[in-house]
Amino acid sequence: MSVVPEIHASRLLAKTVIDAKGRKLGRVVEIYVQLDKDELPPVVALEVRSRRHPDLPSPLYIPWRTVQVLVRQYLSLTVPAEALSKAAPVAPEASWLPIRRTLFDKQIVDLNGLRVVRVNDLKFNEVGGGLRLVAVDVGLRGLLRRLGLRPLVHWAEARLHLSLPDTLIRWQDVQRIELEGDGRLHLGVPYERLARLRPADLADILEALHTRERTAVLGALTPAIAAETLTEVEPEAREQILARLTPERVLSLLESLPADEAADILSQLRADRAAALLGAMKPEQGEQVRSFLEYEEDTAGRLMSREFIFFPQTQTADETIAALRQLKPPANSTYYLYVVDQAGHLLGTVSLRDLVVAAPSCRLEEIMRTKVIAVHVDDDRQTVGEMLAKYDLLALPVLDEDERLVGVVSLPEHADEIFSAERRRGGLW
Amino acid sequence: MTWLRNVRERLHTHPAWVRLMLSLSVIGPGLVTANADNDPGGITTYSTVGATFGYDMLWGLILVTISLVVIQEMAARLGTVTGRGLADLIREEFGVKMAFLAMLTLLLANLATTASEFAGMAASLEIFGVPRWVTIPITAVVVWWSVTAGSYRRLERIFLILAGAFITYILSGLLIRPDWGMVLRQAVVPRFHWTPSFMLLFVGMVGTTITPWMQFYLQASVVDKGLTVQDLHYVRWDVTIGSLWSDLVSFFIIVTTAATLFPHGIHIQTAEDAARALEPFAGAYATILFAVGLFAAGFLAAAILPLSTAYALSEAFGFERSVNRSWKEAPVFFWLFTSILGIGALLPLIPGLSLVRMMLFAQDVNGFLLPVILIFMLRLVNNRRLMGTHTNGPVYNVIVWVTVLFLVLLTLVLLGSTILPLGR
Repeated sequence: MSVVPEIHASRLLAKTVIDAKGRKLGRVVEIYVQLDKDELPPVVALEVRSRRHPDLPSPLYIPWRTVQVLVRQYLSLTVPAEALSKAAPVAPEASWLPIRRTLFDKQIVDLNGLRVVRVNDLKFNEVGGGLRLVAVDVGLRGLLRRLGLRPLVHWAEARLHLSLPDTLIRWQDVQRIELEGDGRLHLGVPYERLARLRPADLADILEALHTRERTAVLGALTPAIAAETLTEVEPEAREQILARLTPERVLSLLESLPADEAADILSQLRADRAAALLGAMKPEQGEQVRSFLEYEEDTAGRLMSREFIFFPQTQTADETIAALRQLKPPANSTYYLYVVDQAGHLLGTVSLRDLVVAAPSCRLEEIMRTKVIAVHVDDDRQTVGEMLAKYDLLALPVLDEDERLVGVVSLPEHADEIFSAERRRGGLW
Repeated sequence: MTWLRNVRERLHTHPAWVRLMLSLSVIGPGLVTANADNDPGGITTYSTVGATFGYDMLWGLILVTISLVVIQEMAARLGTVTGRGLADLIREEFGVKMAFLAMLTLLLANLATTASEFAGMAASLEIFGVPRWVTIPITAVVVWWSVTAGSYRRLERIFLILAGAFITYILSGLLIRPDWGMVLRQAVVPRFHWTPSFMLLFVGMVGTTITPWMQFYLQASVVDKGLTVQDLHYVRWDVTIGSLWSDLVSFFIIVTTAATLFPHGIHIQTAEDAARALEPFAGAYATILFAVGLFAAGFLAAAILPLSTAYALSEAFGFERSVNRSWKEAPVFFWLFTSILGIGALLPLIPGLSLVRMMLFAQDVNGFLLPVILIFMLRLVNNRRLMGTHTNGPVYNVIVWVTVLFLVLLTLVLLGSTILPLGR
């Protein structure tokens, strides 16, 4: 049974339903689809409202299987209205999604394009013997169609040779963000795909969402992912999100972050709030974070991470390689290996290449490069950026006042912080 | 989503005394928005009110101030409770057609207002003999360029200070020593002239004090600041003090013009006429002071209006928005901004048009269209699903509905009077 091969929700909603006896039952005011996890949702029922027939219930729910054919603005049914009101369900089922109320005009996340867009219209196609929701329309064409300006579109295309493309997002790529009354995410919507996005992409999406949705999405992520995402969010949006999270939640996020990033976040909060959170942290972590907060914002001391790999100058190449095998450090921290003396002073650097090509018994002090480019903890962000660019480095060691190695700024890890100022200063808002 | 970030930044750029004042009043978007209200159109309208009808419309200003406080509080409350912009709420709650109606209303009102800002800048420089066809194209390009190239914030600091020139109306008003007894009496005893010119000016006064764009702007800045229900108490204070302060300046503009221009029967035809109200304070420098203030206020608003309009439209229809994005990333947003600015700049260049008349007319357009936006706001703010326990109380609803009905009534009477000549 094929009522229509494809149709937009806006057009279906304008139709008048006629029963088998030719009675006009009223206009379609809502379309229900059946949500099913892996399939495209089929249309299951229409909601019709009419004041003309006091003998019929209003609203009247019409099962899609009784819809026979679509002719111009009419949808005709295979059964008379009386049979319908007896057979039809009184209320929509829980698994039915009223698409007009939940999707029309709402913001959704395009998981493929990684952006937040507004739904203008929805598209149904005949798939596998039923009319199914296949895509949402977020483009200008959909907008004009909703406004009843379809003739304008046709005119523009015919006369002006303008092409207004349909901007469709496949239903599989649509992430709805629906909130419960208490501001939490609606549990009926699957969010796994959203949670699987990279934190940087997730951060862009969060920035585009409304404040309440942002907080809800962040609240639903695991603390580790949420924390990482939070560090990628622009400071202004971050502040808004943090203001709406409970202190307990903020604490658990901070505790799953490295101390430098936790310090960054704390430094942007109101002083009283930051102090309270700092006091509530685990003692040793609180201590670490505090040590970062001693450095001013936008300095190398604040940017750097304290996790870096260093070896004593007397160690041999062989021992060092063995130690690295044991440590299995992440790629980020192995661009340069730092050689320090007992007091922690930086003597030189060794690259992995130097290490591999050196004779196994060679001591690090024999192969290290002693002309080290380094910055001090109080050097500002611009200096750090300039040094990295000038010497084509991937990472810079950071020294304290006594020339001791205290941290490392690495380009892949800190690029957004090093270079974000220029971008932010650009705009009006 | 983060827009109007500059509201926060602005607070750091204010001169020390403003900062002090702002921190005393709990600092916020309400104050900033309300003061953006004293733009060239506003100054011209209040000046005309005083010069043409003396103290006769003062009672109206008092009532409008009450409405202003209530309406601004409502906009701020909508923002803090829902965490959404007004355009956004209208689209999601009322659908695409209603959103189109609201946006068309906003667009028309804001086009008129933008034109009035350019007319104001042109009028201020005409005092020094600079013709408008020189002033307008140059300022339009500078505004456009400073916003898109990102140097706006630096200029904004300068112009914010210069626009402070209008505070001298208060000093001027005190120095004239008007008949305070009469001023007070007129402020509470309504007097209505059933003439089209009185009613038109009245609509303009309402329209310039409570504008459609302010509702969008205020709500967005509240949302952007991340204010939540816990902050509602501060937000209320901020909005109330902001509105009262802005209308205090308006009050003194009417009083000074009523005391200096009205007795001599001077009707305001150019900016120079209006400037004479500042003479009691500034003497020979009155015109310069006035011109500088008018230009600066016009410049600020000429940037903010097209920008906030483009923003609201993009928000309602789901276009990429933010000046931080490139033309390629947000083409519709930039085209909207550019066209609103361009059309606004072109309108005052129509030959033979009086700049003062044009400014007054723009405020009327705002007054005629305001009810549409207010009705949307009332529907939203009384929606329990959105607002929970923070819906309007009956007094608030009555005040806003009275404002709406009053404006609609005046509009209808004025429409009628164009067909059936009324009064004289």
